[in-house]
Amino acid sequence: MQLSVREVVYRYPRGDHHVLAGVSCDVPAGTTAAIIGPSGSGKTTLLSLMGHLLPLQEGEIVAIDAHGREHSLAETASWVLQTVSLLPDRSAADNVALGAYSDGATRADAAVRARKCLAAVGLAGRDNDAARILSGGEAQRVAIARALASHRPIILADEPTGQLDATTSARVLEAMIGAHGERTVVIVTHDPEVAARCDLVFELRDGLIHEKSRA
Amino acid sequence: MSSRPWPLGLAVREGLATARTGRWTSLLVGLAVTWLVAAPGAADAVAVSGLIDDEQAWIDAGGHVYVVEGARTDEGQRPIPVDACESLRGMSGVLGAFALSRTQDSGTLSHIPAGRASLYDVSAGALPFLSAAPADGGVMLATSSFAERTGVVDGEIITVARRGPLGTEPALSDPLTARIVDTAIMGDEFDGALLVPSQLGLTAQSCYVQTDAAHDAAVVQVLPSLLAYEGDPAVANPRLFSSDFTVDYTHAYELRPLRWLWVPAAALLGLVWAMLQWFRRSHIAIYATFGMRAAPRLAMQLAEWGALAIFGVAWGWGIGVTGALALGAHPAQAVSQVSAHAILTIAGASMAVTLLGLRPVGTLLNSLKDR
Repeated sequence: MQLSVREVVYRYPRGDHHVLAGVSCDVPAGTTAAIIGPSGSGKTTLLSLMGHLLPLQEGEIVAIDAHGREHSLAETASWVLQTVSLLPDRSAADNVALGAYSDGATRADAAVRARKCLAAVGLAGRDNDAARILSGGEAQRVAIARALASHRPIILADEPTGQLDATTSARVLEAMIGAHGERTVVIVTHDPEVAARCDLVFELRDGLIHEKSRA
Repeated sequence: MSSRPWPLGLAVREGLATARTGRWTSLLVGLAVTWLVAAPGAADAVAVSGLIDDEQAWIDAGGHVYVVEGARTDEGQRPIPVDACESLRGMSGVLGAFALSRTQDSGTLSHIPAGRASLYDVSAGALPFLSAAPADGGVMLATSSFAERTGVVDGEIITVARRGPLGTEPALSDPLTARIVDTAIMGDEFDGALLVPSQLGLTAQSCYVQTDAAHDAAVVQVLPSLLAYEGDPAVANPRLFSSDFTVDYTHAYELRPLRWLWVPAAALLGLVWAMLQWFRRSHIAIYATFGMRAAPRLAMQLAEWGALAIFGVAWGWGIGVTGALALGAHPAQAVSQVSAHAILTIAGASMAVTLLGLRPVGTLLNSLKDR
């Protein structure tokens, strides 16, 4: 599913300038795109607008299917958040199952998907551990597994490997970007190695977006 | 992709799972429900029981008893028709009625000549009115102080010597069965007297009428006309006078302030739940991020609340009833008041929980970042 961002303008209610001043870009279906830029350049804001975590002020962000029909990203995208947002008292598997439930999986199907996705991010056998006892890196991997458990065609990830070591980071990126061709993946990152693995790299600067290179 | 994420059944299961795994939050809500069901219910049960005891004492002292006398006219005090007074016993809302006349005679027990007492003639209704059992051959109603003074006991066969004005010979009654009665309900002036059933003629000086609380006002309204003599309406006076400083037992149950304790209890539970939801706003935002919309979100929150409320009510009801009984409440009141408070408190709190669950989640990014 293609992701299309059209003339998006955003200014925080108490802000004195536009964080995004007319951003437009397209991420073709089945490709991976990295959004890079200095701190405060609006990367997380743009990703949050894509995923309806923030209300759009101006412009349009849509997902377009193979038949040209437009969809809301609220119904087509799953998330890996920068803030590791897990339900602390629920098990890792229960947290991952939320991703599966988002596209209508049954409990049995969600349990199977959860187990498989936890294994994909190196957390096999940790299904029943409560999220509150996981380390920061493990929690981040659970969050990635949760996004993978969803069959939604778009994944939006905000610094998904920020708390991971190089080996684990490579593994989860493989799991996420390895779905390449099946899903459209957008990653906000500071890590040049992560950006290098993506098909597209967009740089946000001074409220505008520039396509930097094509892998 | 499925077209229907988060069916209600799944949302309910999520809510139940949250209640089960919630640890401190579930414990906090469960305890809040427990004590906010137990304490107000128990307090009200004790208060209602005290009210019932007080009202019973008031009734035993003559509450809901009316002394009906004939009107004062130019021709003097009018009498009360005995048959009309007796017929009140069949009237709805009348617990008892009998006619009474004070005589100029005094009476003694023939075997205790010194024990002289005032004699009152009463109609047959005096026996049930004073809870005295009838007996073959007739009875004599002796007040408890007369019994103490003379040593006569309930059921004893006695003969009463009736003495008229000085110089007349006493008239001996047939053997009668003594019934010892408490006349406090009629007033102190009967203390030490003897009441003689079935000695009245067609009229009497007064009619004593006891009503039930529910029909008190209606009965007292018709007494003057029902007991009128030759067109002159009678006058009904309460045996116990009331004023601004006496308790109005007719309305005391409805007016007791503790009956509304469920309102602040429900409000407090609503506040506890609102605080919990605010502290957990990121959790709600996570569900929303993964496609949970308003209806399943409400179902999930109601399921969690319902599970914790059932747990809390079960404990709260038990603690409330036990506590109320320990504090002296009547068992029936302990059960009924604690149950009523539990139902109303949970209903009120559930409304608050529903309204809170219907609130939009707001900006997800802010909620996810706990800001």
